Amino acid sequence: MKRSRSLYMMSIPAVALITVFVFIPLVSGIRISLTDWNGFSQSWSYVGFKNYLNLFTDSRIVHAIKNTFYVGLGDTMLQNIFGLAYALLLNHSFRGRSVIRAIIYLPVMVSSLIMGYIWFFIVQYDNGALNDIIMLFGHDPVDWLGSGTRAVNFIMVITSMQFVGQAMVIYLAGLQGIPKEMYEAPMIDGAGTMQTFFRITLPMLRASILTNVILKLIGGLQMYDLVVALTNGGPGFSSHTISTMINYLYFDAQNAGYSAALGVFLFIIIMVSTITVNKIIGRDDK
Amino acid sequence: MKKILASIALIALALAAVYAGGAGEDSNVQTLEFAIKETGSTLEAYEAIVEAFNEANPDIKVEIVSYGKDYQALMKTKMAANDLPDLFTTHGWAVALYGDYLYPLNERNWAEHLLPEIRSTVTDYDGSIVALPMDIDITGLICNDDVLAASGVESRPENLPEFLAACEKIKAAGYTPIHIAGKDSSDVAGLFSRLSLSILTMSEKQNYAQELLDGTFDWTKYDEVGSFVLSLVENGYTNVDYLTADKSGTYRGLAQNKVAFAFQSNLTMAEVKKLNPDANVSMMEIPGYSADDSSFLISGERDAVGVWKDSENLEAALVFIDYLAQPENVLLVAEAYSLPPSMDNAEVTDPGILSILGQIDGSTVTNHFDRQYLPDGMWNTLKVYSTSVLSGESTVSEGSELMRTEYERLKN
Repeated sequence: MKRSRSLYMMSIPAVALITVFVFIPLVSGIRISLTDWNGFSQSWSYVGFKNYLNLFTDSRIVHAIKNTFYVGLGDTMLQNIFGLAYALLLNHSFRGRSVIRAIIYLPVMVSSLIMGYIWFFIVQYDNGALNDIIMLFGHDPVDWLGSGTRAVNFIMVITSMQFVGQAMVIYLAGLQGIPKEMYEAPMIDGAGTMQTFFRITLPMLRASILTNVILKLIGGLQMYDLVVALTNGGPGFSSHTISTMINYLYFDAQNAGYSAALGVFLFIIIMVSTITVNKIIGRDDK
Repeated sequence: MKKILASIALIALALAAVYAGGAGEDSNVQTLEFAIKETGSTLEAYEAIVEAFNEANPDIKVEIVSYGKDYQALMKTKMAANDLPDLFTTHGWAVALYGDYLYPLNERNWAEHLLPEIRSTVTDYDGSIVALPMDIDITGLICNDDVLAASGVESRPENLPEFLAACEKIKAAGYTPIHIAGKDSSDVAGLFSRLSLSILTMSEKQNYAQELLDGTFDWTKYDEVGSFVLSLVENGYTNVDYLTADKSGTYRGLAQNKVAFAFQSNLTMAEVKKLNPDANVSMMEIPGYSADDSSFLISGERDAVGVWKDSENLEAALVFIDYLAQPENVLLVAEAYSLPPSMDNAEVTDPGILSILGQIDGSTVTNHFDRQYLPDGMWNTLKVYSTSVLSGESTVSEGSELMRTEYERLKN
């Protein structure tokens, strides 16, 4: 009894922090989402679920939701495929392995905002490095970010390549946790590389896959800084994600209630996605 | 255990002594928080004034806090909490955004020296002067005269037909007539805002100023503004990357003598000069609508300082704002941005500013389109409208309909 009481006492700081930084803002956000507050005025009115209903009839928001899912799912897929491939390659001993690992991980340490600006200077129409190369071969320059679809694809690929090192590290840790003995019997029985990979390696990496998919999915769904630096949501509103729209609606459009409704919607999407992924991939963990 | 307790008591005692000493030393000094958005040379000018004020007034200590790019977002958060700095700059929004939070300054001695061109922009609907303007923002177009000359354009266009003819010549000579930095929605909105004045309110032939003011404007007539901008793009008068370029592209284009016009503020001139001090760029008047109309300039608020009406240090804040209003201080801030000062008792000697004053003397001057004719909050609608129309996400008529609904919502 005394022991359980002391355990409860020890959890108080964590509970207090979660209450202050997660629970209260969440409740406050839900409350604001039911109002027409402009974000700075001292007065507002409750409008019920009007903001939520408007979300699905506003073409700009629907487009931002589509972009968010496209970037979130695409980014998760690319990072996991390339992260696992790098990890499998770099799990073998060879000369220069540590250097290659460091090079792949290095972009993770660069801020996404900086990464966005670096890529903007590479792909911009006028004086962009990519166009300079194209022009060297006698072709006309291209406004790479001039099409919304292409801009969203750039965002997805750039973020995937930037954070692939993170996925690689998690997979490397998972690979190194697989006992070597597990490969001995199948090797004696003549199992091929692919069979070993699909029958032993992949199932043993279930925890790493789960961690990576959830982390990357949440990161992708919250995509913000790279978009701001690379396209600022443009051309027009075609490359906005939910996070950049939340910022736009709150601070530029002065529509805090609507912005909060979109924020609550994003929270629900992330929660449902995480629970779903957990159930699908993590169902045999018990 | 006793040793530990004794040590804790000793540390607590020492801290108390330090705190008491500190409090005793500053107990008579009132500290004022002065939040400013401006950076660079304007920030340096404010810092110099504050330093001199603090030396001359030992009972008041002004502390400058520069929020930089996040200024407006932070100020909105502070407004929501009704917890603002004692003094703050209003960056063009003294009346529309901050007016309800500012202390009226009509009774200050310096108020009678405010020039009429700027006095009205910091005066609210009740007639209260809500901020001390330091300078007068004069805006038109940015023009590269070397590109004009190389294209065979003999004089700056004074109306839109001449402007289109000049664009055609510039394009034919291999230059970019107009640079649009479409990555920044404010830049696109600035283009539409300037042309709205030309097409809708500054012409003698076609003038809807009164209808816009009294709310009877037929917004289908706004189609002409959208169509005009789209025609600039369709005729190839803009940069190819007009949807994705940022302002650094405009600066570079003007500095390298590749671009003729930019619908941007005078800050662009300073940025271009940093890249190429010899670039022949200057401010020109915005072309009028028809061949019979004359060109004009826009005048408005740029650097202005307000006092939070609920400040606990209101008296001290007023002492500081009176100090700030002294002619030499007004001149210092105005010269930092090469703009005319806001007071008639500030004597200008800077040749660049004298030249701008000369331009104002011979010109028609009006306020910004949105600040003059649109209700508070519509600048953001203008940004949405202009980027949507320019990118093709909305048709011109859909855009005008958006303007109408937002105008009616915000006006009521």
